[in-house]
Amino acid sequence: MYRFILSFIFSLFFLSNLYGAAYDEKILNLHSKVFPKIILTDKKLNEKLLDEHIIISILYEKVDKDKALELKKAIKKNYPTLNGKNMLVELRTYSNLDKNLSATAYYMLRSDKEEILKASSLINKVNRISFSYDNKYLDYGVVMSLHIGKKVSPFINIKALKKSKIELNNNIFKVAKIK
Amino acid sequence: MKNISLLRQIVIINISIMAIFMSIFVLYNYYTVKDQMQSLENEKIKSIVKSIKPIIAINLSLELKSGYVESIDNTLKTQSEIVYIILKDLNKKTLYESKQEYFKKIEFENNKYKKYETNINDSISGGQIGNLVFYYRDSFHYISLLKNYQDFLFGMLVLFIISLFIIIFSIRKQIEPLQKLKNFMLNYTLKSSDKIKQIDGNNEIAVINNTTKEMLSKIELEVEKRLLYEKELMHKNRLASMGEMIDNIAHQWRQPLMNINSVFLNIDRAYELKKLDSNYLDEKINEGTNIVSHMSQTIEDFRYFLNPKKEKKDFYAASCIEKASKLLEGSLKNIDIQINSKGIYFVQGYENEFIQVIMSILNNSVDIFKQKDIEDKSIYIDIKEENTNVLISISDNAGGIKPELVDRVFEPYFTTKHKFGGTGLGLYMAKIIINSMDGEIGIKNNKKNNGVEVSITLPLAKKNKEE
Repeated sequence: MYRFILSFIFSLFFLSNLYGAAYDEKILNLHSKVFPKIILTDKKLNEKLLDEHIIISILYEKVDKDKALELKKAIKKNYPTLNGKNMLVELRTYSNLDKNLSATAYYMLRSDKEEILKASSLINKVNRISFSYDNKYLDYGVVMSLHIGKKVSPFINIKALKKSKIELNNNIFKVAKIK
Repeated sequence: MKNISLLRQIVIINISIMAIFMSIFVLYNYYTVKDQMQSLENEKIKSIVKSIKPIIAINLSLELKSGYVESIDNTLKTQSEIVYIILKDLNKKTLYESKQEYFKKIEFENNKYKKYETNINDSISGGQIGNLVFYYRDSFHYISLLKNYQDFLFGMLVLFIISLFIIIFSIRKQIEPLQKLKNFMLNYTLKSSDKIKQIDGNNEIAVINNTTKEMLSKIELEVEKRLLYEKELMHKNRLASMGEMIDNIAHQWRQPLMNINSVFLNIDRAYELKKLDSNYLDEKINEGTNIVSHMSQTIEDFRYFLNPKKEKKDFYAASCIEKASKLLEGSLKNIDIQINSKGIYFVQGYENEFIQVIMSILNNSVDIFKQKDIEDKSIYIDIKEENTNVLISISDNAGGIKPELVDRVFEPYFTTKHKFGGTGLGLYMAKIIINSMDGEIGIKNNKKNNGVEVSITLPLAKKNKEE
């Protein structure tokens, strides 16, 4: 019993560390500003609207729901409309991704490698932009993230970009870091 | 320009034209080059702006502050002529600004830096999202080029000045013979022994020089001929004067001779009447001696007059008139001569010649009195000072001269007294003598006196001023 309680506490601690506990508010805030703009760099954006709405889907694990909500709120606050278009932000767990892939772009909060691999693969197949909080996820097929070093710049996985057949505005390549 | 020497005129014209040309050339060239360089500078700035603007725009679009900050900082690092960059949002709020270390607020406030402003548009959605303002100064390269160009222009200016000096020197050398000719002509007198040197060649200067030399030779020859002619005339006139003198001597001696004869007759009569004693003889001898002495003085006066002394000297004008009157005493008998002198005036010249002039004038009056058989004969002589001259006017009451003859009376051999043996040389010689004394002689009718008036103007001698 004692051992069970310890392992439960450890699991909770581990999961919280793995997802929600490690988010940086400043980075999330920056992402909330940059990500919607990045969506606009998609040359075929108009084909990816739903009833003339831009739909942003935030993928999260259950433990990160609060962060997902915070991010949604920040995006809505920063962009009531996006380039004259109405915008909707939906929250979706990784586990529910395969049911409907009609969103315009996907923001991926933290998850495990398998989920990320699976999600990015699905999203790439429907030619949508995937943008991850963690730029390490570019190794798992995510198209874009932000590189935060001395300066902040978009981080593009060129292989994934080609695979997803997404065409971006050339200007973004002037400032982007290419993987 | 009329009083400026040829060399100076050429130099002034050359310098003026070349200076105007050089000024226009240098200024036009300088400003053209400067404008071109400035335009290149502006293009360079535009090019820099053009290259960094999209990066700043996309960074600003994506709100990647570090991106546009880095871009602005890098631009300032690599482009030293850009002094200050400001990135503003649509509300003119400064998003980021950065300046060079050498940025000086005073220079900025005094608008020493040039400004270039451009809009920043959203690279993704379009539409203005901010403003980018550049302040820049001339690049070191531009300043260096401009300095080099200024040095080049300065060099040109120095070359221009040197070339001007060479031109002036060359012109001076070319027209040197002309200047020598000018100096020669300015100092030229008939007596000077210097001669113009012949110049070889056919250019204008050589032609002017050689023809002038030729012309002067001809003039000298003509003058020589004229002098000989005048000398001959003078000689003739002197002979005529001597004839007149002899007439006058004869006239003046007639009375004394009669008196001597009378003395002899008286001595003879006294002897016959036995009244001749030593006292009476002494008395008559004294009387005869006095008469002979008077006759001798008359000869002395004429001899003095005929003595051709050719030295200018100061003499008293009125005394000459008196001497002339005395010499013509016989001819002037029964003529009322009124001499009116306002002062004692000395003139400089040849006294005897001047007496000869007065005698000629008086003789003319005497002859005309005889010719017209005038009863009340008068000659009026006025002497007065006028400015720096002495004016002597001699007029008679013999009825005057025909106006059409006035201009001809000074011509040689012109006379209206053929019946009285006039030679036509008297007034001609008078004019030559008066002119040689730097004076003037003229003739006109005097209505007041109803006769001719001869006016002689002579410069006052220095003696008058000293006194």
